[in-house]
Amino acid sequence: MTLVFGKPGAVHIDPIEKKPMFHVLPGSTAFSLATAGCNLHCKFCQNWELSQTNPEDLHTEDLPPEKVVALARQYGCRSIAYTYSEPIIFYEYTYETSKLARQAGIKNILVTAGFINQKPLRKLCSVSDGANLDIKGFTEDYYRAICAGRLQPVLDCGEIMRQEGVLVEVTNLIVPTLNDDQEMIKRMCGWIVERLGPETPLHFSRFHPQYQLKSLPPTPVETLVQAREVALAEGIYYSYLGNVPGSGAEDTRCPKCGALLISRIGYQTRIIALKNGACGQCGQAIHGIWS
Amino acid sequence: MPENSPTPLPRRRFGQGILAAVAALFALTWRRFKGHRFETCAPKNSLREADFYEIERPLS
Repeated sequence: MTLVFGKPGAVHIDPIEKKPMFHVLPGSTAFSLATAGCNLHCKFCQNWELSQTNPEDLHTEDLPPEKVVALARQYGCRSIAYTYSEPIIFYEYTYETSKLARQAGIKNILVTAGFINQKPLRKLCSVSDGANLDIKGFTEDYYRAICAGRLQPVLDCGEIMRQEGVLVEVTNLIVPTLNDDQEMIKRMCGWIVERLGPETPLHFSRFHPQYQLKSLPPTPVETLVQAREVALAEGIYYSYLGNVPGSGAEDTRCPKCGALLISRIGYQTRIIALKNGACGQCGQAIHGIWS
Repeated sequence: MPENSPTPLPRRRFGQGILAAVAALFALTWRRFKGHRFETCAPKNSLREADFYEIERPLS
């Protein structure tokens, strides 16, 4: 039984780049919502006040699926993002809202840690358009010690999403001293190239001291830059840095000719040379949902 | 605001910067109010500077 159906604790209209989703309707807004709860317990959680609380302890809005879709349309949002905490926790709410959104021509975006069984995942994929899958580290030990979860189901989730036709982007939050080993990052990138495809956008996100890891410093920008270089060397076409505005590593470039397709500074987005889902300079098809 | 978050990051450094700027502005204003001037701010040969030398000159 769910206690959170139609009762989100956070509702915002965000740039879709904030999810982060860089290859779905760039420059558009996503109607973003979340309820209380998460099935992981990450020590670094930046939304722990939402994810690590009980529904009865959170101020919530009464927002049934029909109202979510109506509001998204009213505010001109081209997508609804099930985000901030964990859509798997509010599975029924996500599924019912997604079905209605589909009928209204609104895209559905999951921002998830992907710790879910295969059967319900496939059902959810049938109404989802895009997903940002959080791969928090690339060892079972890291998942067990820091997130109270397991890695393998998350990797399976990524593969199933791809099989089911959901556009997957991956985020990896790099936490200093815990998962910043470049060899581990290299193995993760190799797995992404092999199992999800080199066209899968990969975001390296900067950690800020939060929740139970306040004693650690923010991730040095050099570590993130190095991770991105590893990803590109491993064959990932699109790798970005998150929470480092103005780094220059937020732009989308053509993997074939290097032309600047989409320029981003923070959440400011400008489409430069992307034409009908392809590079305007060399015609290379660019992976994404562009219309 | 960080990615995938409904809340802003704690901006400790930014806040400290604002606090320092306000404190400096207050100190500057207060000193001016009290009739003092920083040497680097005072125009050369200003009346105030001349007055200063006047006072410093031996009375004899």
